[in-house]
Amino acid sequence: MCRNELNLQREDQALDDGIARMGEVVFSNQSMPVLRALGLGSCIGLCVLDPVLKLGCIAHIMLPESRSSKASTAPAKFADTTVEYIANEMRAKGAVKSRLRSAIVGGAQLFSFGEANERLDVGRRNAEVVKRMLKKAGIKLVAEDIGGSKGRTVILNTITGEVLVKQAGTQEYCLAKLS
Amino acid sequence: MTVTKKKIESSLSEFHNVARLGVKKASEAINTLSSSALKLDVISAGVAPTARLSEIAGNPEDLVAGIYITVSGNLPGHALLIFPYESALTLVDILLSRPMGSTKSLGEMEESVIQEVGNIVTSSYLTVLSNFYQCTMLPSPPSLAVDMAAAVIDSMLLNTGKFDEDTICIVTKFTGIRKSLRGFFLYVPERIEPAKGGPSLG
Repeated sequence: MCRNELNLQREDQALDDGIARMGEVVFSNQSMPVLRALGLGSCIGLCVLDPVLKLGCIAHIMLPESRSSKASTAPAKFADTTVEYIANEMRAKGAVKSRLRSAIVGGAQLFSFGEANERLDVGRRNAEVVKRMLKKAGIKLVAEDIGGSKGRTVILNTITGEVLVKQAGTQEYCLAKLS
Repeated sequence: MTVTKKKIESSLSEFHNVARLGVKKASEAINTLSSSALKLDVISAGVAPTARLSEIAGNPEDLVAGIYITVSGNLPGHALLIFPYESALTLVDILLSRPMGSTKSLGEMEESVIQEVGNIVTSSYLTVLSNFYQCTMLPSPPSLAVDMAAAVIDSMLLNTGKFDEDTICIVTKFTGIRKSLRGFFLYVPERIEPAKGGPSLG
């Protein structure tokens, strides 16, 4: 109805800029070795890398489980389906599963209304499901920076293997090297 | 009862027309509060690609003050006011009658002022909706977060519990007599007709 008034890019015109937006997975290539997920609040940024092939991806995961929602075309919308999707896609691009390394960032709770609220705690639930699915898929989780009440940006450099994390008003720091 | 697409479109159109009136009322309230320094204009009443909503306030990593209010009752929804941090400081100067540029950070009092703006805008908006639909709409106390714009918006959107490729929303822009003063009011309804009556979005 009114998409163009907001000047927002349609989701079917992905911007190929190495940025994983909500519900998206971006894969690295020779011309795009650095990937980002910006302003993760309750969402999880999942970084996966094959350090030998220097092939990696970032998924910007929104919700824990797909069973309560109708089918979605967004590949990284749900934590419980994204890990398998990534494993399959990486394998198809030549990655070896036993070499895959991962890091997760995000899952914060920015807003609080003074009482426990399951919906507001979606960040914690996202992190739990992602970790469970990584374990199930046999993908090693090297590091995590999750929880708290602050948003994060994550950057994956597939050449160096570095996972950098940045919060508002602070310097970025290196969470881990996945190589 | 089978809900036809036509009925939903008709309900949506009606909701958006009423929402525009709600924004007009909120604009009058904020105009009065700020001694005419600020007003609201609707820039979008419809659907927006969900994955892109984090960009409505500009750069996703820009620091913003976000005031989030949940709405319960017969016509539940979610309201989020977003001010770029510098605009939030300017707004505090105006509302507390301080010399421009004197507020350098958001302390407890300044946060309280910003949250009150959220209360006033949301309550004015809801008054119109609840009067039109003759239903109860109860706003929560405001919750404030100062963080990256995308993180603030994503946290609100995920709390709506429904996450389709498109989100029905009203997006409203604050414009001020000072170019540095700007912000956005985003309203995401969970229903477009009161719970007793017609179709829901789910």
